[in-house]
Amino acid sequence: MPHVHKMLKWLELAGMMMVALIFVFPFVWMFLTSFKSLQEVIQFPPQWLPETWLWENVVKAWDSGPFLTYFSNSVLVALSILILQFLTGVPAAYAFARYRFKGRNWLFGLSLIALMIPPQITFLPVFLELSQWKLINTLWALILPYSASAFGIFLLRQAFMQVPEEIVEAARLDQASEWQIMWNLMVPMARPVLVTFGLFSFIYHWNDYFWPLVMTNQELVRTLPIGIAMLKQSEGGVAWHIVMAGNLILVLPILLIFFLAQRQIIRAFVYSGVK
Amino acid sequence: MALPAIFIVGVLFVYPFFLSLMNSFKVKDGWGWDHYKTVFELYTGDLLYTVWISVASLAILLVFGILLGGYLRFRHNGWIEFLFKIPLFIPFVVVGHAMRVLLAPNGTLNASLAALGVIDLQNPPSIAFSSAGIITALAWKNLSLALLLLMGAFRSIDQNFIDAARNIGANYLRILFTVMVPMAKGSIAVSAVLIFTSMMGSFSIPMMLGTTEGSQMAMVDLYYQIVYQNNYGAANAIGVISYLISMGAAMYYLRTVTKR
Repeated sequence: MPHVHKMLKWLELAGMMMVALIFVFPFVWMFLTSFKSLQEVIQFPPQWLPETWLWENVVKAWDSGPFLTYFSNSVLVALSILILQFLTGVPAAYAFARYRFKGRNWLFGLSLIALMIPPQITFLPVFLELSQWKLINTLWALILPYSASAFGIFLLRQAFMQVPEEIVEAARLDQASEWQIMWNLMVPMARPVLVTFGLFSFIYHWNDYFWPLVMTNQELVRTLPIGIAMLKQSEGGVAWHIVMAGNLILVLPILLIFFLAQRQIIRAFVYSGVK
Repeated sequence: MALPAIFIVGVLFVYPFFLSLMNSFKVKDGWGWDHYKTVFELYTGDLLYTVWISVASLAILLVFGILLGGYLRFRHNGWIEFLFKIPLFIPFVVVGHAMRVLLAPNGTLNASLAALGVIDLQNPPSIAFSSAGIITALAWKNLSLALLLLMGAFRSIDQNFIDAARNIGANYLRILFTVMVPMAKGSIAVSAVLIFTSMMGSFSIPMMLGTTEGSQMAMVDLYYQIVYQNNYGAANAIGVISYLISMGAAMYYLRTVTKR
């Protein structure tokens, strides 16, 4: 029996290692490719580890365009969207969670409908709308359309609904205004959900390729994913090692944020009880 | 309080969608169904293919997600919990390229299987550049989000229910499928709707892992209509149809949420 038990343990461990490998494969591949020569990238059978670690690939990727501009644009766009989404999403979620008013369900339904519209479907009318406002080729074209998030409203509403009514009533008895209740009571109680939503939003807009591609065509307002795609085109044939070094630059900042915030993520989904 | 957000959602999501809807009916001399007729003539197969790919990816994803989420509910494993979140921050483009390297006829998977003597490299099977490649990549990319939602739901279940089932002799799989899954039905439905709609609108992965011949996914057709045909009416019609299919899947959930 102890033998069987031990074998089962090993099987479990092997199974989990397989699962882990499946999860990390694209990341590991991207990381290793970033430091290979082009010859090593395209050779068959594939070679996992680089013969010599070519750290200069990262420098080459960075130097092949105005990457500092792309980087700061990405930071500015992703952070501005995040702040605007919090400022518009928190009051909306609070109203949907705690107030009874005429048309509440209808308006909430409307925002959920928006949750399910892929950007590819609406980009053409939005593009025309923004060009009428003369915002194409500005960072506003990347920020404004995402300044409210239906997913954020939905997630925060779920979290706010879980706060017991007695706590809110107690705050009202203490003369707290609705804004104070919302910002000083509800928001701190929903912290894991806020962190998780913030992370999701930041990652999505940091990695977004489609929207900046269709809304900008000048280097001054381009973001990192577009810069990396241009890298692919400017190298003639596809220089995967340089492209992946560019992608490494793209992924590293969010990996760092992810390390700092990842403990909050599961708590958020347990807390908000999305259902 | 809700007005600023509703205003933005209205002006930048709902209004453009209605414009898109109107443009899908606009023809040279007024209004008509011409674009829809064109789309159904050319792309009925592709629309069904898109639904099929999305459903198949979702089914695989849910099976893996439920089994793994259940396992992690029973046995806390910090490393696996950390690793499974990695797909969340990998850009779609990287996933596409990595899957091409892994699943191509001369890719890493076949090279490893050949080294083990399982396949012959003279005639290697290819998962990439086929429906299986798209399904694998879509399932992989969305597994993290599904797991997060499912684990959240499984961890919200009162331990007493699980202990009670265990005390009467239920094993892991029985507890998972007869206690935990029914109790997390709502969260599983949300995950399914969110992921299905995102798969219906997927573009980068089908572009990179699909074939140039045969059926294409709807967003690839939409892209071709805009870029190569300059037929915005047909592109809008494809968009509207895709959206209605996603909405159909979400109707049940929307009804239950707005009723609360």
